[in-house]
Amino acid sequence: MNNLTVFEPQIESDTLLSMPIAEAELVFQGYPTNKQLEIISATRDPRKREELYYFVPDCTELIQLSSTEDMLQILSTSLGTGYASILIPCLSSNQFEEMMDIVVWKDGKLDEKSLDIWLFELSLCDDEDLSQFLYRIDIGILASMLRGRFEINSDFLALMIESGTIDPSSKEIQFKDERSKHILDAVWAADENLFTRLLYEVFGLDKEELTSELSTSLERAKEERDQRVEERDRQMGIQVTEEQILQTVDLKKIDLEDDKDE
Amino acid sequence: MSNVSDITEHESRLFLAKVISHGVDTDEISLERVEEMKQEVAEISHKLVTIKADDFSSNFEIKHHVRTGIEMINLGLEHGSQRDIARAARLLNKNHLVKFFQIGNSLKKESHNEILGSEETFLG
Repeated sequence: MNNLTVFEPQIESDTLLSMPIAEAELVFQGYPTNKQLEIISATRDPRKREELYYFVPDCTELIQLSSTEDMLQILSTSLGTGYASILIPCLSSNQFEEMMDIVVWKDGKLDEKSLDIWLFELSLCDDEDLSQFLYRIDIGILASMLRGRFEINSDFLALMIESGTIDPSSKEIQFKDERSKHILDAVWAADENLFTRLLYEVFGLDKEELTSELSTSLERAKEERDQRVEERDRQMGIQVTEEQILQTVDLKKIDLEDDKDE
Repeated sequence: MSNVSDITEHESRLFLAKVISHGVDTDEISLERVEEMKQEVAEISHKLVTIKADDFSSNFEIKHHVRTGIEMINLGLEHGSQRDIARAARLLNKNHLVKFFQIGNSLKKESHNEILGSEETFLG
């Protein structure tokens, strides 16, 4: 008999999660990073997978080395509760952008409900983290989500915005819901310039055709997002595109290649 | 045959599974093509999940989208081949699975619209 032991990440994960926490932390921290990642990756239940990250004092590195899809699955277990905001700051900016490119668009359209929940979680992060991530969400998307959810009652709207004399606590701003106030508070706290740019987008200032300009800004955001998704897919070897998945065909003119046609 | 069952393991009664099984048994479909199809199914599933999922933490929902992808491919293949197994095997050899997915998806949408239309007529 030799002393060779086979490393089975899934079994190791089960063992670690059944140990007393202090003991599990010690064992887990004794593994090199690649083994820790193997154990994490082999744990398919997202809640259990999340527990493993907490076995190290600072899980930022492990999180940033994990796949975006795996992290998205973990964050989705607590979205809307405020707890996701604990892990969000550990993401890299690229991971966050990749997540936004997935969650904010559904069936090729902007999913405002999803964006709203993510912004709520983001607004609970500290200002520095918030600022880092807010810049990864296209301003056209933010504006589209907030449009119609607050008003500025002033005859000098453009002047007020331009001069920077307006902030979320200004009496001229009237919010239609608490969440939008919370989000604008967070944007203001993170970056005053971003806040001003956002107001420009929301109210379509300096633009003749307000509606068409706003939809153009969203279309541009979608186009840029599609390009990023395609590039990531290419890097992962995925050739099937979203366009192909969403495309329907004329059932009377089905175009299939058949050996007999040759 | 384990390679074949990987693609359609959730439902061996699917026409798609029967065609692959038949094609491999008769050497009409190579094992290399089976491997390619596995990759194509994985890509379609991946895209479907990212486009459609509401809750990414739900394994149930993710499995549902994967299953839907396979069912749409199956439906498209049935329609495209008119359920002729030999023809279906030839089609699988020559076409990317996303083409069958598109046909299946279009059929599903068409029948959905028909149901909505008949409901409207019924409700008058």
